[in-house]
Amino acid sequence: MEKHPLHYASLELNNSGLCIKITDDILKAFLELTSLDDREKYRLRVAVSEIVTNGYFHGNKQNAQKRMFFSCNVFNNRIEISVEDEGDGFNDDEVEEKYGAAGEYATGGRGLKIVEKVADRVKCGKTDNGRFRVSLLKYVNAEPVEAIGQSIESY
Amino acid sequence: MNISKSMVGDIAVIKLNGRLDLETSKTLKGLTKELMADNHNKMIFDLTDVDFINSSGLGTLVSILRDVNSKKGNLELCSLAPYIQEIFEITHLSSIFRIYENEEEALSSFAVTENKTE
Repeated sequence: MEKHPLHYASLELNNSGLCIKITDDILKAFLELTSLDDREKYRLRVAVSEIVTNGYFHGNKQNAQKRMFFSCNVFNNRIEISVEDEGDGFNDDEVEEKYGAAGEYATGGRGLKIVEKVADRVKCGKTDNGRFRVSLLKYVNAEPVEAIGQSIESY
Repeated sequence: MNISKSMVGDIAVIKLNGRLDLETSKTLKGLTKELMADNHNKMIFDLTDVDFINSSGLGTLVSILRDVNSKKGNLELCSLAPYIQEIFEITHLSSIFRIYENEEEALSSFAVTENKTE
């Protein structure tokens, strides 16, 4: 795998709802540099917005004193995106407990499903400096289709 | 997000424009609360000009649907772009919302519903 991206961005943001729009604008611009079709570009933007929203809302708990770290690396054959917040992360059981009872009429709990569906690989876990990181990888060209829809891995 | 509202009889037709996410969905929720406070419980959301929706926006739509259902009203969606429709399908929400091709079809569905209840 190539080690050096063709294009990259790294941002440190104050934790606010604006993070969702800012990171989406950057990702949208980067995706124009790839050969992904419009449908895949859109799906990837939605998936990343889910991760950023989770970081802002659940990880950093809307605390304006906290920060969000976003990076996007575009390689020839893949895109790697990582989002870090200063929270404690999440687990699937908590999401299920909160939203599972309402079934189809639940008002939340769908974000991770979208991420799992869209990404070719997702990893999440604590970093050495205590942040919670979610990394998403999406292949751009002729990559293993069977990888799509994998469950989220832990670091 | 820009929101415009018009009334067709007792049906509120709400046209959404732009992004429907965590930040912008609050405005939509506020508008529908006002409508329901005035006993307008029949709504159509026209999503023609929605260019981005994520699970926060979807959650808001579900929340409004629940509110409307609890008042024995109706909420219909229409004119979803294919990539927006796909997000509804990924999240299985296409099974709880009635989604129409265009506003005319959505308006017609109210007439059918009323005929059935007469």
